[in-house]
Amino acid sequence: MRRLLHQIWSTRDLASTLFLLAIAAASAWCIALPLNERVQSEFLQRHHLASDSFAIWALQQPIPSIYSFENQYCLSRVALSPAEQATVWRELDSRTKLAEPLDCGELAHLGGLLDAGTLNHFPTRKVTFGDSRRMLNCDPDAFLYLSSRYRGRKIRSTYQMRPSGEATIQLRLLESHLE
Amino acid sequence: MQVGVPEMVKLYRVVVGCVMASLLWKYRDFPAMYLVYSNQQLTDSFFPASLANPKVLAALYFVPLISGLLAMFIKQQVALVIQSTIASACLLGMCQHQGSYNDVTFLTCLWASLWTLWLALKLDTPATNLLPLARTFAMLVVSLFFLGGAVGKWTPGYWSGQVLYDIYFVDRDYWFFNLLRSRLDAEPLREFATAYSRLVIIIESACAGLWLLPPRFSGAIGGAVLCGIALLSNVLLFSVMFALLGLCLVAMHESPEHSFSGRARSLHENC
Repeated sequence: MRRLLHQIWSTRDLASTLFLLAIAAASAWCIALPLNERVQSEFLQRHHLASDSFAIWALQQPIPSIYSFENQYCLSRVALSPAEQATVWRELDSRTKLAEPLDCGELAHLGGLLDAGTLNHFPTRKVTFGDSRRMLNCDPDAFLYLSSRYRGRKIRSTYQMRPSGEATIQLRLLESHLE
Repeated sequence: MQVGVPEMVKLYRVVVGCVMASLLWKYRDFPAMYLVYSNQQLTDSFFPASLANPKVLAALYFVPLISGLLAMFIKQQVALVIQSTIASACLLGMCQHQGSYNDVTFLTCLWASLWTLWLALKLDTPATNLLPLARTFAMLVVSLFFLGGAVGKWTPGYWSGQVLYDIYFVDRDYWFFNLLRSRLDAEPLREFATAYSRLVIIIESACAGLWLLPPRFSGAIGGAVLCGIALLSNVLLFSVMFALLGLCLVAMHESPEHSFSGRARSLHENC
């Protein structure tokens, strides 16, 4: 590395300098994750598509964040009360694998529950990625509840999906709060 | 161009080829995804309209493939700079598109393409000076991905094994996890998941420092770990790994005069 830096410096190598700076900046942001609460908040918001702006989110996208955080999701036909949401997270934390139709634990009464579980990263992918959207096809409305944790920080977000014209679903972030 | 440049163009093509392999590994899923995205569009106030449009997604996906194919037949520096710039821009778009932002395949391909852009800009440098730089940068990028993977797992949920247990061990249909479920009862399976998860955290964290080792060794270690992750978790993960494996191959590459056989030949000629 010392030789690399000396070579770049002695030849005033702009391309190498810029590439090295890009790698260093991405690395520094990653290293700051376990150390700084503000960085943790930015990462968590990024994974919930809840950054303050698209530009801030897009700027972070080249930074690797793979199989990161403890991400849980719950997809429901009906809006869940805070107590019902807490029940879902508690059940997931108690290591019950949820499946439709629900027949276990305290969630059997939540008849609108479509799916729930754990995801590796970017839990919003449950509705944005691949053929997960098919799950929304039969339902007039649906709600996506997300919970992501990293050490002492936690973010909870709620999305509403609603048909909006032919073959279109409107995705709306109802709330997102950091703890 | 200087003498020795064709060697660097070959390395350029190796990485471009690996990026193409990463993209093609996803091709089986892409048509179905495109149909779903077209038949059920998702509108939201977060993504710009262009980055929620499935046609734009298709263009961003195919342009790097087509330009990569062209790169196999050209060696003019300007053309390669243009090719790598276009590929990098498209892959950055894939990392920011509503339909693909979460897929790490496009992120590894982006950074590998940035490496090819850097190399294309430096092709007028003598290969004796360029190759060591290329190998070092290759492993810096690979190390960055291990770092990004490791820091997000420094949580109680990963250390206890709970997250990977839920994602893989409970019901993931893959030979490794099917074998474990058939051989282990519930409690031993849960304990295995804890050990597995801790091993993943330790290995990824250690591999974040691969750039500190001589490139030949770090490339070999990095390549072995990347293959191990895919083979023991999900072969679909090779779409993520191929681009990084291309960089590992670059790191392991030695120019002919510096290889073992090259040094032996040189010694023989001097005797």
